[in-house]
Amino acid sequence: MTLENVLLVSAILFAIGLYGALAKSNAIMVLMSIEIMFNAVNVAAIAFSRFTVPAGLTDTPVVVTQQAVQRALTGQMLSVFVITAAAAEIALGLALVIVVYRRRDTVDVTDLTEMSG
Amino acid sequence: MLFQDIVFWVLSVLAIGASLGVVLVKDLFRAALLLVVVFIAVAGFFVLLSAEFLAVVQVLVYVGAISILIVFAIVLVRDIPGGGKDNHLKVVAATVAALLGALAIFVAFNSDFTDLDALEASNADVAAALTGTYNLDATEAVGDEFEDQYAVAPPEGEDGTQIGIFSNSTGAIGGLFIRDFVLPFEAVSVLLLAAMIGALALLRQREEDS
Repeated sequence: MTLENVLLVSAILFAIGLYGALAKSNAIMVLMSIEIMFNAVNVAAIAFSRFTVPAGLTDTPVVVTQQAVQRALTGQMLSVFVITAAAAEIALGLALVIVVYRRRDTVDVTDLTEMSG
Repeated sequence: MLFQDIVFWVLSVLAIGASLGVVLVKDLFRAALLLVVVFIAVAGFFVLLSAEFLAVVQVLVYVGAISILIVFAIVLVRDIPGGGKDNHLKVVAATVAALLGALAIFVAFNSDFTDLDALEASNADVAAALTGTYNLDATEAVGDEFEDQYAVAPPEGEDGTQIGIFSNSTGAIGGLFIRDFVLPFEAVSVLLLAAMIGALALLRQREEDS
């Protein structure tokens, strides 16, 4: 398990999610694919956090302070915020889907073309 | 190390296979269940990458909340013909996704990251501060400096050495939330509140209209 291997898996997951988000016509499927992409990004962020050295610990001579060491966790903090944003996004997205379904009796994104001019 | 590698590759096959299932399966409900498998596999990655707190958050938020929301939405709108069918851009989408994935993999394998393994060879003390046990006195920082800067000193192991940051990531994340990341934390709280009110407002409006 190296950084490159984790990034490989993350990139594959992201590509699958991107394909789903672009190729699906059902709005719920699009939202689910976006969730896969969020997860891929989180895996990459945490892999960077785990396998790379934070700035400040690569200088010479090295001074190990708690602050410099804690910078190694920045990727994990980013993931926490991504997860929160994803939760807000899926709640609003599904609310929109249900509103559209009530008004139009469809959740097919290819049918929703009023704004295409 | 070998055991970790086996677990990692098993989780990789599981995550990639399940996410392929999500985008290829025709039945929406099966896709939602496969999505749960993806979420659990990602939580496994988090454990492997020493992010135990995030693994728990992943299971709570994604498996516990988001997938339930998705299943509810599918149940509410289930009588649509042809659940997970593709639109006419299928080939373009596959090409774009494959190209972007290939680009990401190319960049990942050709970049020069400051790797922990290299650091372990050149400066074992600093690497130990991140991954394992380290002794502060061996490096130039003095323990008193910690006490001044932070109320909570880094935890000590049985032999008196400090425990590496990844062995205590949950505590360190808690500290970061109330120190370095206070502003993003508050902003994200407002975001969640706005999303909640927005979702309620969206779903109320229709009942007032009719």
